[in-house]
Amino acid sequence: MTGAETTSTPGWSAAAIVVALLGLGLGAWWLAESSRQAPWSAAERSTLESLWLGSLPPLPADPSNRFADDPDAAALGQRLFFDPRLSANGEVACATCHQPAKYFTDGLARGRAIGISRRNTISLVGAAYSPWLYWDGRKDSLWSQALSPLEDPQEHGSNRVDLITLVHADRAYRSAYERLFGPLQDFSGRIRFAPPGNAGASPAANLSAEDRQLVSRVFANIGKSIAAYERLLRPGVSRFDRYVEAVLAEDQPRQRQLFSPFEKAGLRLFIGKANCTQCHNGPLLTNNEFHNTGVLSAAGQVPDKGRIDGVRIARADPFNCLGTYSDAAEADCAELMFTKTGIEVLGALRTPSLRNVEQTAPYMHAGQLTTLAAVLAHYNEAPPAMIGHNEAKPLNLSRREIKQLRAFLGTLNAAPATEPRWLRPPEPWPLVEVPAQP
Amino acid sequence: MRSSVTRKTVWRACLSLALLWPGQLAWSHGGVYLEEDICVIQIGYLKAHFTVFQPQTRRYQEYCEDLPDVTESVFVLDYAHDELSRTPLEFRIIRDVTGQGRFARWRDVAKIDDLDAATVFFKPANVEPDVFMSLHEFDTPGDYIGIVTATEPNSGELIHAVFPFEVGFAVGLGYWPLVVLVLILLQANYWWLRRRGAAGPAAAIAVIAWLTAAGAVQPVRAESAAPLPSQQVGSLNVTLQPEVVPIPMNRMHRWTVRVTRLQGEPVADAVITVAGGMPSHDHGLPTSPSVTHYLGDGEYLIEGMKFHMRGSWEVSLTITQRGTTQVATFQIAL
Ligand code: HEC
Ligand code: HEC
Repeated sequence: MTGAETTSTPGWSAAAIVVALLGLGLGAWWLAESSRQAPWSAAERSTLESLWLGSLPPLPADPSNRFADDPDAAALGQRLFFDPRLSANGEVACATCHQPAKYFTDGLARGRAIGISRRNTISLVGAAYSPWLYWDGRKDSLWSQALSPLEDPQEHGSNRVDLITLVHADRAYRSAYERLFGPLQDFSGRIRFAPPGNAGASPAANLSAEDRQLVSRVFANIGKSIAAYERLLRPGVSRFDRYVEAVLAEDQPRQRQLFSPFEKAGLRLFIGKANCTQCHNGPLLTNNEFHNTGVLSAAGQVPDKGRIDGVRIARADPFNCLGTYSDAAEADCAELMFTKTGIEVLGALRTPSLRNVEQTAPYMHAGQLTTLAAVLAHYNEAPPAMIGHNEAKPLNLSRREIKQLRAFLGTLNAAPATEPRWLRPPEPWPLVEVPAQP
Repeated sequence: MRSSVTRKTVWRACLSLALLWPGQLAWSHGGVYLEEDICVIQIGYLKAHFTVFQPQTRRYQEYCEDLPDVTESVFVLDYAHDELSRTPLEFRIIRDVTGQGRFARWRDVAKIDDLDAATVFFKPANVEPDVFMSLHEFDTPGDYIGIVTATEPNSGELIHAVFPFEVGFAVGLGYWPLVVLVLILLQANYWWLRRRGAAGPAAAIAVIAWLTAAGAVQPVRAESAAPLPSQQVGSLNVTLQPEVVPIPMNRMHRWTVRVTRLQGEPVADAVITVAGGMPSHDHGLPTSPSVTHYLGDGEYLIEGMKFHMRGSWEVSLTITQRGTTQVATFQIAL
């Protein structure tokens, strides 16, 4: 009896230990899972609310463009946006690179038209909210921005004189233009234009100073029409936004229906440990500011100096907020006058919006990174920048956490909240006539 | 054993930077700026940090003298002084046709008849605000010389900073095969000891392992080192050879010395001591190097060599053999 007891006891205790360990393990797992599943705290909820599309303010006015919210200007702008005649070779429209089906990007590392752009094509959805345009913020308004691809030899390769000739010659364009901006002068009788298709930004060199100003004003008006169109491209409600609504309504079942635990964990990292909202904040998931994140330079390029050059270019730009062609008063140009400059913004680029980010690969200013996984690996490593200083710090995220973040970034897709008719090339103008040559 | 580092803070020695004012050799204290752990280029009284990247193959790794791959290389000059933001800077890379290799100076470059023929990259003088950057894709391995030419802001004088460098030194798998081999040998040694309880073969294996290891730290590129001429002292021929070429600055490294009779027969039983210094500056070596191992075939290993500034150095070896003592003195221009 005693013998039997002593042999059976160790068996029992071993089993007990195994059961206890299992129980502990399960308990720990359950605790971990449930903490991940824990309801959002009040502070977290207010952060989520700040990222929610519902918090997006009405589109700020653009005092530098009197026609910014004019529907006729937008209609003209849409035509110009999709018209390949606005180029040296008759093949390049804005929509060549900003394709509506791809959230107004092109899926390429760098824009490609007549040549290859220096940087990655930026989505235009929500761009109207940014005080600065381009990766380096070298433009301070949409209308001023629209002028530069038109004369960029790598992009449209056209010039302002050719463009005005086109608008004047196409009767539909001309009447639309004149209804908005007043009579369009016919330069062709008086001035020898640069030969059509002559790319370059200074074709008006043989014009008198006064005429050059007139030409530039028409050119600026073309930009203002395109800008009026671009202002209609607004971000739509994504799954993430519906999830935040459910969070704010404290509707647990709906939250579970909208977000997997994995995505929820990713969101928690995004606003917490991974520090993404340091820069990707607000309803567009960008602060529209400039930061150095130490992205490796692209093949064939020296590292991008980014904002430090962008400020200089913006300040010297005749089409900026303070320039002759702007409709703004000086007081409306605070962004331009008080922006930060100097060595701190060396290598700093504008934080891109993360809305639709899953659909707009490749990533970063020259399309250096092809996948979101690569972007997250970059943030996890936060290597020292080639020039300037990387503001992001290494994150030490586990592989699982990186996958969670990746899953969360997939919840931000939404078709633009824009009437479908604006998202395709416009119907042929009712009144398209080839004007008689004088 | 070339510099390939991940951060500015783990630099080995400095870039060789010859900054020569026309007509004046800037070789005294303070003329050439050497800063431990950082590659610094000095243009007049203006300083800049100098870094080369090979982003397509080496990502963020920073180099300042020897570039491992024959590929696209990004040269970055980070100004330490704002004046450089307003100074026109010209940048030229030439194939090393001076024959001076590692020791090339502006005076050697100035002697080249057709500089343009040797030029592989040229960026005309231009004011580059904030930071100076250039990109060149190398297509041939070899020795090159970079020349930064600045217009001195006040006098308008041209100032040249010259830095020789090498492109394409990466060697296959590096030292990993060796590490693996040594591990295998150690393991074999252990098994042998367990099986036989005998020390003999184990010791032999250990010796082989050690010798292999010693072999691995032989000069990587001895043939292209500017050779120190062999010296004949008494009945001996003495050849001194740095293990690392170019000779590093501010870093401990090893040398080898080979002693033979005039007929070429290796000398195995010499006792050698090492001394040296900079006669023109009246100071000795910053360390006390000594011969630590006989490597066979008349060759001895010298450990603990270090130079802490550029200029003319002397290294003298006192060699005692069969009761006679001879001194061989080598001049080294760094
Ligand atoms: C060759 C391709 C290409 C064409 C054609 C093109 N773009 Fe772009 N677009 C780009 C690239 C590339 C960028 C980013 C460039 C940079 O930041 O330096 C960009 C940036 C922009 C931005 C800035 C968005 C932001 O949030 O900063 C706007 C707005 C824009 N383009 C509008 C237009 C308009 C309007 C046209 C036609 C007049 C046009 N683009 C034609 C490639 C193109
Ligand atoms: C210090 C500010 C900062 C922080 C923190 C930051 N980002 Fe960014 N993010 C940027 C900037 C700036 C860029 C553009 C960098 C470039 O192009 O070189 C960018 C680019 C991106 C892109 C590429 C978008 C595109 O369209 O090309 C993604 C995705 C992204 N960030 C996600 C994240 C995530 C996820 C986190 C948190 C782990 C994060 N970011 C943290 C500033 C930041």
